[in-house]
Amino acid sequence: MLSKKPLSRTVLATVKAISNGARHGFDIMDATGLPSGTVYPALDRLERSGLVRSRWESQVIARREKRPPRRYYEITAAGARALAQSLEHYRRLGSSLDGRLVPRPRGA
Amino acid sequence: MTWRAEAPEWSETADKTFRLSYRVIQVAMPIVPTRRRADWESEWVGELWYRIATLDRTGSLDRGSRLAILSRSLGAVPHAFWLRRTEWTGDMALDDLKFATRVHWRRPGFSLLVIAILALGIGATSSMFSIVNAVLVRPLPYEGASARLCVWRVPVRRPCGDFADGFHRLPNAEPSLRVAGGAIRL
Repeated sequence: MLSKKPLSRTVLATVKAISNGARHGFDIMDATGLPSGTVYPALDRLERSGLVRSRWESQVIARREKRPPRRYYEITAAGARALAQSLEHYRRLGSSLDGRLVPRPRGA
Repeated sequence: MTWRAEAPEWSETADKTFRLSYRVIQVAMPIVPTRRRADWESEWVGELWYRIATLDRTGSLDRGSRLAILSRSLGAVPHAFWLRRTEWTGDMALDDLKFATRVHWRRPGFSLLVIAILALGIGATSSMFSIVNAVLVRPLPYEGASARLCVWRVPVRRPCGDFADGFHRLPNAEPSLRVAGGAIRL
């Protein structure tokens, strides 16, 4: 189930890529720059936790294009919520770090 | 599988690239839990096929993109291991046994090769352990063997002796051991 913790970097990048329109495994790899051995387990984890669901494309389309069907992924409502929460979490974390990491002027 | 019935309309290079990538998928396939295997194979084949066909159609299937596809197909191995680790159940051991038996009957040469390699590996490891155990680990078969010392000559370029000099340098030498005039008094 959906955890209260923010999504990890890999999972966040995967969910964000799907929400941006990358629907297939290889397209998600192109969008995130992550290797296939990382993306597919992340997709499986996301599907088990209900943040993403997968479907097979229609056999009719695949046959018309003379190729095997592809599996595509969609973000669920829970996934969209988790994505928004995590992005907000990292945004807040980033802005709080920005304030702390500004170098002090010499002699201050 | 549906995709096997499809006749790809692509170049020879595309065909070679697909075959090579599919070999990787085939190698990783037995690792995937049986109930997930068909879906897993279809997904990988669907993606590889689509990518290779698209690149081939646009004339972009150069050496770099072929290597990228091959490297991407190698990800099937960690993906398969991940599935095995997260979805392993007791009854899968029986499936593995059935699979191993089928492979044995279909390709006995391969099975014999694997068995020979395993036997050689186990034999070599056991021999090494026996030697190390006899020479280094097991105490000597004498009474008070742990109190015995072994003294050997140490090459030193000084005129004042050889083994005595080396002996003094031992960091954990007993204080009761004294060296005088090249002879050891215990």
